[in-house]
Amino acid sequence: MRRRGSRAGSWISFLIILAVGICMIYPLVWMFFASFKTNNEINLGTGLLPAQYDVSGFIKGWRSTGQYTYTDYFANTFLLVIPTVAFTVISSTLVSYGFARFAFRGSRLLFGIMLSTLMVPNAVLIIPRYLLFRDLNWLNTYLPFWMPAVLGCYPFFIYQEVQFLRGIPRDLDEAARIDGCGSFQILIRILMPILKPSLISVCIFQTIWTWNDFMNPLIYINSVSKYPLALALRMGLDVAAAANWNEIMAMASVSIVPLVIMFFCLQKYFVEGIATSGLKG
Amino acid sequence: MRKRILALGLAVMMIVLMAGCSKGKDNAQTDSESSKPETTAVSESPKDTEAETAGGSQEKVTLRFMWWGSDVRHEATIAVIQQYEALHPNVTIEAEYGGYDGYFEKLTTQLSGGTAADIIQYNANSITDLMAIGDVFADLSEYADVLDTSGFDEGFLKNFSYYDGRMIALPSGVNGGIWLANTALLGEAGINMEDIKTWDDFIEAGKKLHEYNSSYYLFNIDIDTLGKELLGSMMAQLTGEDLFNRESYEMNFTREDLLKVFTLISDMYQNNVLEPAADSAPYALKINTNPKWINHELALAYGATSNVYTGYYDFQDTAAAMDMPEFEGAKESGILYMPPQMIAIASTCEHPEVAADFLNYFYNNEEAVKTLKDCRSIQPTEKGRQICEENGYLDPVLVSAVEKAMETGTNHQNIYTPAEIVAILQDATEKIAYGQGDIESITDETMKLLEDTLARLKK
Repeated sequence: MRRRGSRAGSWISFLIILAVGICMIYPLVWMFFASFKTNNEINLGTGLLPAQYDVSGFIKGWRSTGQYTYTDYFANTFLLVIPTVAFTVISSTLVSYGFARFAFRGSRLLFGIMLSTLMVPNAVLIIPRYLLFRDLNWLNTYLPFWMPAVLGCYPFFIYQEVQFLRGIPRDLDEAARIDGCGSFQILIRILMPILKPSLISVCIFQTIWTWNDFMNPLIYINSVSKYPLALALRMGLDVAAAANWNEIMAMASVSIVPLVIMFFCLQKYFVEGIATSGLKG
Repeated sequence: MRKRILALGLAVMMIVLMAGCSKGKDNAQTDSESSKPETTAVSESPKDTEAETAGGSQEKVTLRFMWWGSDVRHEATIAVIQQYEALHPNVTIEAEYGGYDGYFEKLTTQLSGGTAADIIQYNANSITDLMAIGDVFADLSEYADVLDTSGFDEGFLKNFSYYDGRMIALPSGVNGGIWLANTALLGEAGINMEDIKTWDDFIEAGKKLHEYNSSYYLFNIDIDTLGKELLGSMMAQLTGEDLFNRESYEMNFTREDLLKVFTLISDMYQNNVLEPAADSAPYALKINTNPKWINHELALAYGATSNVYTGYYDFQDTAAAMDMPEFEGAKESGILYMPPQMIAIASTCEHPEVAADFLNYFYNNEEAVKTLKDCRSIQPTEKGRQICEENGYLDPVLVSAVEKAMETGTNHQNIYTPAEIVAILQDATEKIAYGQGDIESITDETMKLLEDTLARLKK
């Protein structure tokens, strides 16, 4: 009797999760099918499935305005995102290792300052940062994205990793030290393997954020030849003109494919990374 | 041993990373340096008609042209740039185009940082906010020898191109308010467009149409356009002035005027002249995508002609441009008549004479006009309009609306109203549309807010 009850309970929770899941994925599915529809079909909103499967939206959309195609925009996005993510992972690991494992003078103060930068609203920073990058001659390059990543300017990730590192017993470090490891080797050989889930969640977050970022590329990148996807997708959208929505929906669908693939491949670690770093903090 | 190799490998990787970054930095620096000698080369050479004889000279000139728009506009503008480059092999014009989202933020950031493009498209009504940054645009009248502006309507230029006596920009086109009526739908309910003269007639017609069929509404407009544009037009009818007085930093209307306009807007919603605000909200700024409009249940759309594009409406045979309704004893027509966008040359531009020569080609060359067609609304020059009309590029209903606007359009187009003031009036309009509070108190509250804001802006 009892078992049946718990079974019914798990069915109910399964149905609830299923319903929530459908609600969340519906817009994406709609977006995909909208890439086959005509503007009129999209506006009048009749049903999910298109009247006919016309793939011209994908072909024309990919060609864009003709000057540059989505091949360029994809290449640009990878060139922007991959180094940014790699640098972020390396720099935030090093910085967080310093904060989590070494007691040095002013470490608490520095940690506080680092965290306080997390609380400064982005809007306040846009103009001064723009002027700084202008003076460094970095405008219209990807350096405004890469260099902050190199220099550990992502306090959110540093904080996350510090919390994770604090959860790892120091006994491991000490054992390694007795065996003759230096502090850098401790990080690489002992801590990194344990940190893996956390590092992967940093990867996923940073990839998604950089990939979808609109405001920063908008401001720092001028040349259309350097536009990433986020700018390219909005390129033909004007309040005072007809947009070929099927082309935009088609390209939007294509542009999320790499993210979706990455998420599914790394999903296992992702959940682990957030859950453990939260618990042991 | 393995540990050591690993540590070494990582250290090497870090160094490579650092080197890679600093290399990128060097590149950026050499880029900017390599562009500097060019500029000195040009300024050393005799400067007079460099631009006109540019085809023969060796001076390399690179200009940046930034605009927003749709794919059609992008393709046409790129084609004109290529034509110009073919005629002037030493000139390269880099096209920096994008969508409308974020354009204004990007432009203000660039102007503040002195990194804006050389040729800039901007919205006519953002001029106060842009000029607040400084003297960001060059005076075009200094380049009158290369840039011929005789084809433009003089009054139109006077009204929109000048700021503090300097000619800072040229209109990219002409743009009129259009009351695009579906005469077949009006006729179905026994309404004749010609009979709608006053706002009272307008409300009556709206009531009649909705009574005839409860899913029909007379007026298709979004709250944004209503609060930001039409409200100013209504006020111009009452006061014969702009909303905002640029010299004294005061509003040009009284509480009674505002109350009258707010009451009119409220009456439109109360009497079902307008679709309930909550239903039409999803189609803000895209009123032609409202299913009711597509299904011919809304009889009359208000907007600017520049917003009416191919596919905006599908009742070509029964479409007509209605006259704008007026208050009794209106001082002005209130009809929108302004440029859809302006095109300026940045004051930081190093080759303004070449930029001016390009603009001359852009506006006055027949091939350029034929390429651009109406991608920036109806052409601003007499000759341009003629070429487009002869070749059948224009929708006759739009032409009739623009002609009406040219004859009777109001001089007071509120292009100098600060964005904050516009936002206050817009918020009040939304409150009325959603029925949040009575008109009297909304009016009082708005007047108070306006006064406070003006006092602050004046400082």
